[in-house]
Amino acid sequence: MRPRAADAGPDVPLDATDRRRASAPAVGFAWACLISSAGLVAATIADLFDGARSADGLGLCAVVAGAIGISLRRSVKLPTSATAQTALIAVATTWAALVAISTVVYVVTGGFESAYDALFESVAGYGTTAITTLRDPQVLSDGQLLWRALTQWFGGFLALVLVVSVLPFLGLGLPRPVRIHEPEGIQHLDSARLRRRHRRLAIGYAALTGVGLVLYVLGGMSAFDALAHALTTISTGGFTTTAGGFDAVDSPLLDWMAIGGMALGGSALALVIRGLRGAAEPLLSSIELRAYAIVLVGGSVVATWWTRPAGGITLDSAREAIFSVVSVVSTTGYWIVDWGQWPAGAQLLLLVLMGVGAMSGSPGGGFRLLRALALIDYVGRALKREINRQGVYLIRLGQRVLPDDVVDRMVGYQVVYLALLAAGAFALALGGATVMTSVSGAVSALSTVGPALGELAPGAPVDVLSVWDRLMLMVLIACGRLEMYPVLVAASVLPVRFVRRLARRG
Amino acid sequence: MPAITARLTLDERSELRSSRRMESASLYMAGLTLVFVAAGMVVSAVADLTQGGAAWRELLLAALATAVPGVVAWRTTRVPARLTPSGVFAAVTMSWIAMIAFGALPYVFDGALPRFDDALFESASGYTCTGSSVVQDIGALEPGIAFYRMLTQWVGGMGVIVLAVAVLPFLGVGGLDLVAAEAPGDTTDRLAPRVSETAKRLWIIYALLTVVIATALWIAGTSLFNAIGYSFAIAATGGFALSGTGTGVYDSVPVEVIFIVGMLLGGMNFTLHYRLLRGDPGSYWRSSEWRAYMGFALLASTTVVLVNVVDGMAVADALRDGPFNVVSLMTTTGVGNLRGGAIGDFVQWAPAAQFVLLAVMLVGGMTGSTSGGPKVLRIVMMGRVVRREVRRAQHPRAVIAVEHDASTVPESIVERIVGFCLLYFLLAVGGLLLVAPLGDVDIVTAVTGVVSSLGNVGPALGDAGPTSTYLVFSAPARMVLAFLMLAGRLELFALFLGLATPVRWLRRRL
Repeated sequence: MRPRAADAGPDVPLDATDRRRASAPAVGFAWACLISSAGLVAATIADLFDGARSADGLGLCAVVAGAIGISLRRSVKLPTSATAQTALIAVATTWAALVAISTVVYVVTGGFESAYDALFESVAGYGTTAITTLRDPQVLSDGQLLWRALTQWFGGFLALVLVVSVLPFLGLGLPRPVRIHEPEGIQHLDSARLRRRHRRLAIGYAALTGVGLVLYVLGGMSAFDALAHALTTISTGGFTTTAGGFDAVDSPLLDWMAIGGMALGGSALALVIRGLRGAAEPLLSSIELRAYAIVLVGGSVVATWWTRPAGGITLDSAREAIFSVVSVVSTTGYWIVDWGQWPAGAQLLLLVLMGVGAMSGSPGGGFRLLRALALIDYVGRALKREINRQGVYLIRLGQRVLPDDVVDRMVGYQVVYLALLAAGAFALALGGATVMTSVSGAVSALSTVGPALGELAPGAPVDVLSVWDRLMLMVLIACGRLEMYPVLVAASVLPVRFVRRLARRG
Repeated sequence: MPAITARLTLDERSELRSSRRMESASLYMAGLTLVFVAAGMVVSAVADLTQGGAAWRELLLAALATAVPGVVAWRTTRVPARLTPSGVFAAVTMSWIAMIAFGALPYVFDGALPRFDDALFESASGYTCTGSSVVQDIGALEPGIAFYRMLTQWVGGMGVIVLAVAVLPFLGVGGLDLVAAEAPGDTTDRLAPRVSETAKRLWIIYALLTVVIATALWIAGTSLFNAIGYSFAIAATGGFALSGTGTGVYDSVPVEVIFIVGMLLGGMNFTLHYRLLRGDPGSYWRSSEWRAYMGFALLASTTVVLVNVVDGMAVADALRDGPFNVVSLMTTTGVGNLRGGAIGDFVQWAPAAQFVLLAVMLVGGMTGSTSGGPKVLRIVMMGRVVRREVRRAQHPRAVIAVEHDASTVPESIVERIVGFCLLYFLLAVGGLLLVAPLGDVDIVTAVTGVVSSLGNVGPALGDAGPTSTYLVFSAPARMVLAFLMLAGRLELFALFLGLATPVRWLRRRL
C-alpha cells in the first residue's frame, strides 16, 4: 500500500524511492501523447499503402509524440488519490491535449485551409461529432483519413471510460450505486481493479470494431473504407471518407449494416461487453435498454410514416427514415438523406431524439435515455406532491429505487444541461446563425451528433457558420462529450488559478 | 383547509350548511365564473350601444346563454365544508374551461368567427391573456365584439391574480412561498389577515392600474374607447390589439412609452404595487426578483438595440422598437408596434435579436403578476441550481443550499421549482411534437408558436409574427396551442391536477 496524500499537488513527493512527480494532468498529457503516437503509427502504415502522400509528416508526429509521451511518463505519475475537482480538471486537460496534438498533426501534414479548421476537425474528432470543415475529405491522404477516424474512435472510448469509471466515483453520471470511497470524494485513480476494467473495455471495444470491419468488407467496402467506417460507427463518431456522408457509400446493404452498428454503438456498450463475457443479466434487465429499443423502433415507425413519399412507403424511403432516426438517437451523425427536406414534424422529431440521445453507458452522447426516464418520474412526483404535501414518493428505474441524493444529482445534471443548451443556442445566434440553426446546432453539438437542421442540415459544410459560431460549436461539443462537468469545472477553476499564479509572480 | 373554506363560503356558510344542494366545488365555482362572464358580455353590449354598433343583441343573447347555465350550476350546488387540494385544482380548472367555452359564444353569434373552434381559440387566447388572434381584419369587428375581446383579457388577468395569490400560496404551489420568504414581516399572504381580503385588495390595485393606464393613453391622444380597450390589454399583459398594426397606427412615442411602462407594471408582482400605495416605494428595489426583472428587461433591450443597429437599422427605429418589443414579449403581453413597412416587424430582425425575443418569452414576468411564462423568480432560482451543481461536482460530499435574499430556500421548494421548469420543458416538447406535424407550418413557427402559447405571449417568430395571425396554423394545431395557453395560465400544476380529478372520478364510477 503506497502512502496517500489528501490532495497530491504537483510538488508533493510521495515516496522516498520514487522521484516521479505526482500530477494527474501531466500523466493525462503523457497518455494523450502515447495514444496519439500509437494512432499515428497506424495512420503512417496506412499511408504507405496509399503512395505515402503524408507518411513523412505522420511518421514524424508519431515519433515526436511517442518520445514526449515516454519521457514524460517516466518522470510523472498519478497521485494515488485526488479530489473530485482535480480529477475533473485532469479529464478536461487530457482531452484538450489530445485535441491539441491532433491539430498539430493536421497542420504538419496539411490539407486544411487553416489551423483553425484543423482545430475544429480535431474537436469534432475527439468529440465524436460528425461535423467537418472539409467539403471533400478526399483531399486528405489515406493516412490522414485513418487518423481522422481514429480520433473519433479514441474519443468514443475515452467517453466510455469517463462515463463508466470516472464520473460514477464522483457522484455524477449514471444512477448506479454511487461509490465514493473517501468522505471528501477522493477517488483512487490508480487502482489495479480500475485498470483491469479499462483493459477489458478496450478489448471489447476493439473486438466490436473488428466485427464491424469484417461486416463492412463483406458488404462490399474496400478494406480501408471498411476500417475507417468501422472506427467511426462503433464510436458513434460519424466521419466518413468521402463527400456526401454515408450516402456516398450508395449500398442499401451497407446502410442496413451501419444501422445495426450505430444502434450497437448507442447502446450501453460497457454492459454489452460484459454481456459478451458471459454476464448478460445486467444488460437484459436494464430498463434503459427497453426504452432504447422503444425509442428506436417507435421513432423509426413515426419517421417512416411522416416522410412517406407520395406513392406510399417504399423500402428505400423506410431505410432512409430508419437510418436517420438510428443515426441521431445513437448520436452518430451519419446521413444518407438530407432531412432538411423533410416535413417540419419529422425534422422536429429528429431534433428531440437528438437531444435525448443514446444509452448512458455508451460512447454516444446526449441527455441519455436513463435521465429522460427519471425526469418523467421526477415531474410526476412533483405533481403528486402538490396533492399530498406529506407524501413520500420514490423514483424508480425498473425494479430499482433511486436514492434521493442520486435523484437530486441527476435532476441537477438535467438543469445544467438545459441551461447550457439555452446559453449555447444564444451564443450561436449572436454569431449570426438563424434561430433554427442556433437551436438545432446547439442540441446537435451538445449531443455530439453533428448535422442539425437549418443551415447545418446534413451535407452542409461548417464554414456556412461564422468563426465565432464555430468556436461556440467547439465549446458545446467539448461540453457534450465530456459530460459537461469537467469542462465547466475547469473553466471555473483554471482561469482563477492562472490569475493567482500571475499575481504571485508579478 | 380552514382558509379556503372561509373564502368560498363565509357569506353563505349557514345557508349552505342547511341546504340540501349537491356538494360540488367545481360546479359551484364554474357557475359563479359564468355569471361573471355573462356580466362582461352585458357590459360589452352597453359599449356596443354607445358606439353605435350592431352586435349588442348578439352579446345580450350570449350573455343569456351563459348566465342561465351559470346560475343553475351556482345556485344548485354548494362547496363542501372540507375542500381537498385536488378539489381546489379541479374547481379552478373547470371554471376556466367553462369560461373559455362560453366565452366563445359572442364571436359565434355575431358571426365574426363563425366556426366554433376559431371562436374557442380566440376566447382561450383572450381569457388566458395570450393575445394571439385568428381574426383576419380586426378593424371590421363590431365595436361591442372588439370591446368584449379586450375585456376577456382583463377578466382573465384578474382571475389569474386571484388564482395565484388568493388560492395558490395557501396551497404552496409554484414560487409564491418564495415571495413570502423574500420579505419577512409584511408577506404576500399577510397583505390582509384573510385571503379573500387580500384578493380584494389586489383587485382594487388592478382596477386602479387599469384606470391610470387608460387615462394616460387618453391624454396621449387615443380615443376613449381605444384607451379603455388597450388599458385592459396592458394591465392584464394580454396583447390583443384594436387594429392589425397594434400601436403602430398612432406612431407616437408617448403612446409607446405609456405602453412600455404599463406593461412593465403589469408584469410586476402586485404586492409591490400594494406596498407603494401604502407609502413604501422602496419595496420595489428591495425585491431581488424585481431587480432581476428590470435587469433582464434592460439587458435584453440593450442587446436587441445593439444587434439591430449593427445589422443596419436606423438608430431611432432601433431605440423605439427594441425596448418596446422586448418588454412586450417579456411581460408576455405581445402587442405589436408596426409603424408602416417592415418597421417593427421583429420577424425580419437579425437572428440574434430574434433569439433574444425568444429568450425573454421563456423568462416571463414576476411571480404574482398578470404575466405568463415560467417567471423571473423561477429562472433566477434555476440559475442558482446550476451554480450549485457545478460546485457540487467539485465537492461531491458538500452540503450546499440554494440561497435567496440571504436566506436558505428549503429543498422542497427548490424541488418544486425545478419540477415546474422541467414540466414546462416537457410540455413544450410534447406540444411541439403535436403542433409540428399537425400545424402545416415551418419549424421556427411551430417552435416559437408553442413557446409563445405556453408563455401566454401571443406573437411568435417565423410565419406567426406580429404582422400575421394564428391562421397560419392548421385548425387542429390551434386547439393544441389553446390547450397550452390554458396550461401556461394555470401554471401547469393546477391544470394537470385539475384534469386528473375528473378522470379519477370517472374511473371510480366505471
